[in-house]
Amino acid sequence: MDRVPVTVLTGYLGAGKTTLLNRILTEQHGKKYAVVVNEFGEIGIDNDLVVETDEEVFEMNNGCICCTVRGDLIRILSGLMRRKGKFDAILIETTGLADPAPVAQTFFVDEDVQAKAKLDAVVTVVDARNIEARLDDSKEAREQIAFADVILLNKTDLATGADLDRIEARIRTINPAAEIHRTRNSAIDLDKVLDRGAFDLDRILEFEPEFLAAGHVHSHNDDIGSISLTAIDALDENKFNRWISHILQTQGPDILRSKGILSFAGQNDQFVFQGVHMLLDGDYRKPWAPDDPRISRLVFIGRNLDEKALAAGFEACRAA
Amino acid sequence: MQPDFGDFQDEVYADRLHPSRVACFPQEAGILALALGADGTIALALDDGRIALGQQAEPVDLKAVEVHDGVSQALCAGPRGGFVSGGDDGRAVLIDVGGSITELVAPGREWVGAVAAAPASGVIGVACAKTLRLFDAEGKALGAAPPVATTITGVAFNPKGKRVGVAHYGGVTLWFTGGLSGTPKVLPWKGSHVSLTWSPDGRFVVTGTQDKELHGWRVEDGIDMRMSGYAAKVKSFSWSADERWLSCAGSPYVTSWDFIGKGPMGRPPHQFGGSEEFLATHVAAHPTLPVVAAAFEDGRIEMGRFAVEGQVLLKEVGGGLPSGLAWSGDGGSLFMPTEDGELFVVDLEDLKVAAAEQKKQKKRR
Repeated sequence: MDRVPVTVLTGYLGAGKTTLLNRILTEQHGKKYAVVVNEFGEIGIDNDLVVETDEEVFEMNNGCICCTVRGDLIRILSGLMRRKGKFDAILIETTGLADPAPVAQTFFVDEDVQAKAKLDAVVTVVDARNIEARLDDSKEAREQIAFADVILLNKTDLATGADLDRIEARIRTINPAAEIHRTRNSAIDLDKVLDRGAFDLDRILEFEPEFLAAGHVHSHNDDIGSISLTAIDALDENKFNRWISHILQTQGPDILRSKGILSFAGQNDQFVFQGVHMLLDGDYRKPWAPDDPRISRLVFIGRNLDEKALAAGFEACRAA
Repeated sequence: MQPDFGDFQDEVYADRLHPSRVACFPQEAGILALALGADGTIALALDDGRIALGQQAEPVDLKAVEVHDGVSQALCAGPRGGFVSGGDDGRAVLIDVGGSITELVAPGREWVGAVAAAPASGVIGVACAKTLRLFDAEGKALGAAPPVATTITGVAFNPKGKRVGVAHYGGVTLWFTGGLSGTPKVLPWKGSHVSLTWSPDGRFVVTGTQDKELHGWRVEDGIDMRMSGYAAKVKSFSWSADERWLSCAGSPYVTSWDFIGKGPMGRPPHQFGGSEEFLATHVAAHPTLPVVAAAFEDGRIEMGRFAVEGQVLLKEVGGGLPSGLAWSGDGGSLFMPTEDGELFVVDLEDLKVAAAEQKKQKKRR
């Protein structure tokens, strides 16, 4: 059975989340959605099946301090899956202040959810007029950007081109891997927000060039940033596994997301991984193309990242 | 003392196919849950929101009644006949085998996550999100407990039906059914508890947790017990007829914990299971004999005896994912519905005879 794709919509109150949600629901696509919301806002939701739930963030007792999950989603997704053939996809609208990590981690941790649903992408809607102020004063706003696979820079009609360029550059310092789209009234082709497969290892192979850029970008007044690392020489698989486990064990709470495509010595296939905090999913995927350089690349998005230490650690994973 | 099975023992506990008869009764939709009434009735929660009702002896052409706008999320036999179902439409009903409905809770935003019934006292418990509501056997409201802090994931009564417990994040809360407004007894344990059972001797409550463990408390003094080693959340439990063993699904082996004396701590569980690959999804202890049956993800049904090595195969691999498992009251038939809409019934004539024989012997003594 195909697993039902789940799209998570985040963003501050008033950014245009519900407008995007209603666009998805009303467009002529012949698909049926189940919508999960944490609070009913002022704008009504144009759908038959809307489930309201209280955010219940639980800590797992698995010794992983950053491993929080959303108990309400486990229950509701498992419950919804009992309705056979009633819908094709699920949309979760989180509150403006929600931390996306427990939502994403729910899909890694709970076997019932995993068996029947898959996280497709985290889509964050931001208001071009006030996103800069929010990035300055709100940890949640920074995390929602850091976590996103797709960012809608919305209400572009209310900002100048120069503003938008500056905002986009700042978003890139936090999250170089996300796709950014400029929108008005959350108007966007739905294939840019749905069916992204952002957590699908095969899709990670199609990473955008930004991801390839070596080096790192720091935001000046911000605790959240990103580091991209590349290596031309093949890596030693054991060394890398030891290193990444150590990094995630010790810095997991600070590393919000990680993604990588790696070339291991003696392997003809690309190794792909992606993670949320300490939780990692990785596997061998398609072979390297004969003519392509086998460049390993990975990106960390998180707080207080020590670029020098990470670069040195990664460097030390080279095969002898 | 263990009952003496004579020749029956050797036949059942060899690791091979038991000469049972398996019949398949296809239903109109996928089956989410099953409940058997003490009066020989059967109810199936279908994945289109209907409840199918009929007789265990002839589970064909069941009467399917529209009940939920959505689906049933919890189903059990009523305390004095009929069945109780709660759904994700917020509705909870008491429904008799003829399909006539007494509405306990009207549809609303709050999902019904768990239901339970106490035959001894005739009380029904319905969990609407964070609130436990109690009803009498006819469906008359008896009252509601103050909401607990997080959503209720399990409801269970003690054997006399005078106390009721709910599982939720952070532990279990117990009330007297006649004193919902009184101070409840709280049995705390950090973490998310996803299922609940109360031992038939009344001494223990046990939950399955999100962390794939069992957590138990001795009700008397709140002493904690932790039982681990599961591959999945434990959502199916069953207590043995002699009240000694708690069998659980959630791993490739059926685990049965010995609750005699101080409880299972420090004693490894009895285990059986013929495959390392597929998890047990449901367990059902026999109503009178010291055996337990289990349904597995691949559609197998196996049966083992407490504290005796080995198992016997009752149903071979095949069919959809099991969604329940229950014995008929006479112990002669085992019912296993699947998500694909099959209802498998295993007839075990020898167990029926053994159970009847045991009943006779008990009477003579």
